[in-house]
Amino acid sequence: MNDACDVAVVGAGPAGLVAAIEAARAGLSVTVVDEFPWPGGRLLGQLYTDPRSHGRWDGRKISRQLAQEAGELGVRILGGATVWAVGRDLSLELSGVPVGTLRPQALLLATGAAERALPVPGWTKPGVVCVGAAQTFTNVHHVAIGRRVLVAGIDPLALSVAMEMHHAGVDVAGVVLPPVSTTSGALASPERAVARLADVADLAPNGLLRAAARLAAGKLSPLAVSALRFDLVRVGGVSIGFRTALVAVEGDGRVESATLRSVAPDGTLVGPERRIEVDAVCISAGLYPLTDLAEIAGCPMVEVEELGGLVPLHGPGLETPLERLFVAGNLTGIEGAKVAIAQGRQAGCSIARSLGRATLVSPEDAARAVSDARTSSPFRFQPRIAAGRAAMAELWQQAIARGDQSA
Amino acid sequence: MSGGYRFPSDEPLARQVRFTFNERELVGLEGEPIAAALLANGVRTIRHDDSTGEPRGVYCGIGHCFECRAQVDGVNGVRTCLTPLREGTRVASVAQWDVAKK
Amino acid sequence: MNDVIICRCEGVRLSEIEQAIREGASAVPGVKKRTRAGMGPCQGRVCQRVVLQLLQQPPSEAGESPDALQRSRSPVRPTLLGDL
Repeated sequence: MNDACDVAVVGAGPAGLVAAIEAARAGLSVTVVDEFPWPGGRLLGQLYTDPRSHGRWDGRKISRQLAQEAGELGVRILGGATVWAVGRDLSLELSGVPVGTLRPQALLLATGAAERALPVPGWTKPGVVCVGAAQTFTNVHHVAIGRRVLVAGIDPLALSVAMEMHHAGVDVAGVVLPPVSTTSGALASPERAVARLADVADLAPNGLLRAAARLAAGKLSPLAVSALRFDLVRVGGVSIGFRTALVAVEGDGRVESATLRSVAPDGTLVGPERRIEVDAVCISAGLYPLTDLAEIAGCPMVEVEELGGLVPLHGPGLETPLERLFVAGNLTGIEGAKVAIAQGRQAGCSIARSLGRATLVSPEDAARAVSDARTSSPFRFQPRIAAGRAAMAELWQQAIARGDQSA
Repeated sequence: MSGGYRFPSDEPLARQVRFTFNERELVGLEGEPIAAALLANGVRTIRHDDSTGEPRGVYCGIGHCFECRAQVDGVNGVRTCLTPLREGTRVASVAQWDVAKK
Repeated sequence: MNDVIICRCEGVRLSEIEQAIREGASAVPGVKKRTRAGMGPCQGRVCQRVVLQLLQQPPSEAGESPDALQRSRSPVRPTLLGDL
């Protein structure tokens, strides 16, 4: 079955849903597609208390509210729909739903991010999962990934998920540095982990992260790490091993143990191996924008390290060099849900204007709301995100100067 | 010590449904992803890999990696992390990734 | 040290990727053609960045070059023939 609409949105996360709402408010017919059966994207797994507003951020509730609001405005949400191709005319080829081809006037890609991998011996064994899987199973499906879990990766997301599992009753055996290897780069360095946490010290949305970050900002300043005598810091019932790294996962057909080694401040492994009994390991290595659909749509890609890697070239209103193709959310750079929501609103307005509709929000206000969300966001995934956004603005100006932009 | 389990919940749970994994009868919650129902039953290994023969299970949990694929109601290559459980769903490990291609 | 699997889909190990690089692969597609890394159902979503880092050793501060990555092709997800 073929189908037409004014606007198609790929990705029912915060960016996609809010953009759909905004476009529908401008009187456009909107279809949102997502591989997951329920709308919300990564928002579904988020649950924390914002230390600034002291409000509770319940991602599932927000997802439900956004989906309901979208539904009331006539937005069609197709869950369980996989997009396997994007045509140069912006048509979407779908599987998993009765609609075969969707032909929109304008397309928003809000495909989010994927997790970086950190191969370690034994990482293919059942029971080794990405931190996002641990978060989804814990907070969305309410199923424990194991009884005794080791978390490898000391970063805001890993510490949040460790705390969430601990609160849910899982025995968190510890949070340690990710594997030290040719492929993990600086991730496994104690200095870098500490610097990374110090960066979020005043923002951290949960107790463990906040305490760890304060430690990092004070006692464990990068210089202090080298003098650090103790290895394990125990915060809120969870041990953090700033000087310990995962080196292998063992088990006969499933995870039975993990091998750890001490790490010198510069990231080299020292001392003997030690083995701890666990039945699950959760690895956190950061996120990168999921660009495959933007690429096959023909959007030019640029590398901006501060945004998380390769991202589609886009302008200040989230437009791309391709006419009526827009991007929003983590696809444009790794940031939190509040930024994604603001970007969704901005993209929805840009799309409406591109199709000749008036919007209640001015382009300036929409852009300002994005930077406000960035400043007030309780999470910062990429330490130099503002520099990344500035770099993208510069690349966009250069593209316009070269005459790449079709608009 | 092995595998996953379901957290106690104060929220009302979805309806219990029966399903099978490799013809073994199990109970899960209606609408939850098949992968979650399997994990709640302590099932970690969803299939054995074609190329290495190793056991594999959930890895990314959100549909990117395809590690949790299984045959679901006769269809191969279905991602169990994205597919809701229904009464009577039949899940099976398959050796071949995509018989439909042959 | 255990010869770790890099491409989970195709079971391609670190030593095979290093071999491909020694044989002249200078970008992700070259490694893919020689080893099948990135050719499985996930289409490189899991291993591609790892392969790129291996290609760039010692890790450069400059970051990835877009040309070094494989291009996404449709179908970007495994699709039943009946849907094509």
